[in-house]
Amino acid sequence: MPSINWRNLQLTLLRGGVAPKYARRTIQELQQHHADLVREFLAKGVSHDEAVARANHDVGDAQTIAQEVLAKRELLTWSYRFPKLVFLAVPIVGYPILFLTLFFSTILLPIKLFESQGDSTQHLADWVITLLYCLLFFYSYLLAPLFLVGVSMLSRRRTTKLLWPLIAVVVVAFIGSGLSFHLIRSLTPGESSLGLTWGYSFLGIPTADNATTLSLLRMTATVAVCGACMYFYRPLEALKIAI
Amino acid sequence: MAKTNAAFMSGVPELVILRLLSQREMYGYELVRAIRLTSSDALSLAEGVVYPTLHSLESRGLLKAKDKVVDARARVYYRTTNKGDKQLQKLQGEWQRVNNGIQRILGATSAQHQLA
Repeated sequence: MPSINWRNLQLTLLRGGVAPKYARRTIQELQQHHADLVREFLAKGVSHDEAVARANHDVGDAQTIAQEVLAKRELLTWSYRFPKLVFLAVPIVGYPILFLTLFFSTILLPIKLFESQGDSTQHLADWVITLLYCLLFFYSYLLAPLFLVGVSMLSRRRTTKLLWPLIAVVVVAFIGSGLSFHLIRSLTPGESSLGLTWGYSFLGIPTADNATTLSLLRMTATVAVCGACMYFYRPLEALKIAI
Repeated sequence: MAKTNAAFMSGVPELVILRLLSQREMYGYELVRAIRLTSSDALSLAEGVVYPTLHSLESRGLLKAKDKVVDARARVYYRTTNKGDKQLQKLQGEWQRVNNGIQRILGATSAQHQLA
C-alpha cells in the first residue's frame, strides 16, 4: 500500500469542513502512529522498506480515513455545518450591533460624561475633538469594509460556498456605505454639532448633495475589495504541516 | 488477522474505547494495541480510524485529551471524563440487553433445529 500523502489528507479534511484543530491533530497523531508501527516492525527484525509497507497497510488508506473523519459531523466547523447562519445572518445582524456598540461606547458615552462634568463639546481639548473625528471617520467609512474583508477571508479559510458570504457582503456594504457623519466645532456655545446620518435618496430618505452617489461608489468599492479578497486569498494552498 | 464484520461494529468502537480509557489514560497507538490484546485479536479496528472516533468522543465531552512528551515523543493521551463514564455505563447496559436478546434467539434457533 502506498504511503499516505499527509498534506493531501489534511487539505481534504479542511476542504471538507473539518475544524483546523482536528485536521491538524488527525495528521499529527496518524504520523506518530505510523512511526510507532515502523519502530515496532523494525524491532521484530524486518527490513526498513517492509516495516514501512506494513505500517502503511495497518494505518489504512487516506480515503478511508478521510471518509471516517468527514462522517463525524461534530468534527466539522460551525461555519461548515451552518453556513447561512455564520456567513449570512451573523454578519448582517452583527455589523449594526458592532457599529452601535462602538459608536455609543467610544463617542456618545464619553461626550455625555464630559457634559455631566460641566464641559460641553466646544470646551473639549483639540486632541479629543481630533480623536472623535478620527473615530467617526473610521466607524462611518472603514468599519464596514474591514468587517467584510474579515468575513470574506474567514469564508475562504473555511472554504464554504461563497454564495452566503457574498450576499452578506452586498447587504452589509449597502448598510455601511449609507452612513455619513459631520462634526462641527464652534467656539460659540450651543453651535457645535455632531451628527450621523444614514440614507439613500432612492429610498425616499433625504440626503446631502451627491451623498447617495458617493455611498453607492463606496459600496461598489467595498464589494469589489471583498470579491478580490475571496478570489485571491487562498489560505489552504499555503498550508504547511509540521512533521 | 481476520477483518471484523463491519455490520457488527456499529457503536462498538465507542464502547470499547470508553471502556479501555476508563481504566487508564492511553494514546492512540497504545489504545489500538490494548484493543487487540484485550479482545485476543477478535476486534480489529482499522488503526487510522481510531483517531476520528477519539476526536469525536472528545468533542462531545466524553474524553479529555492531554499533550505529553514521553521518551522525547509528543503524545496525546486520552482519558474518560465524568460524562464519558456515565455514557459508558449507559452503553454497557444497552450492549448487555442486546447481547442477551441475541443469545436467547440463537439458543432458541438451536432448540428448534434439534426438534426438527
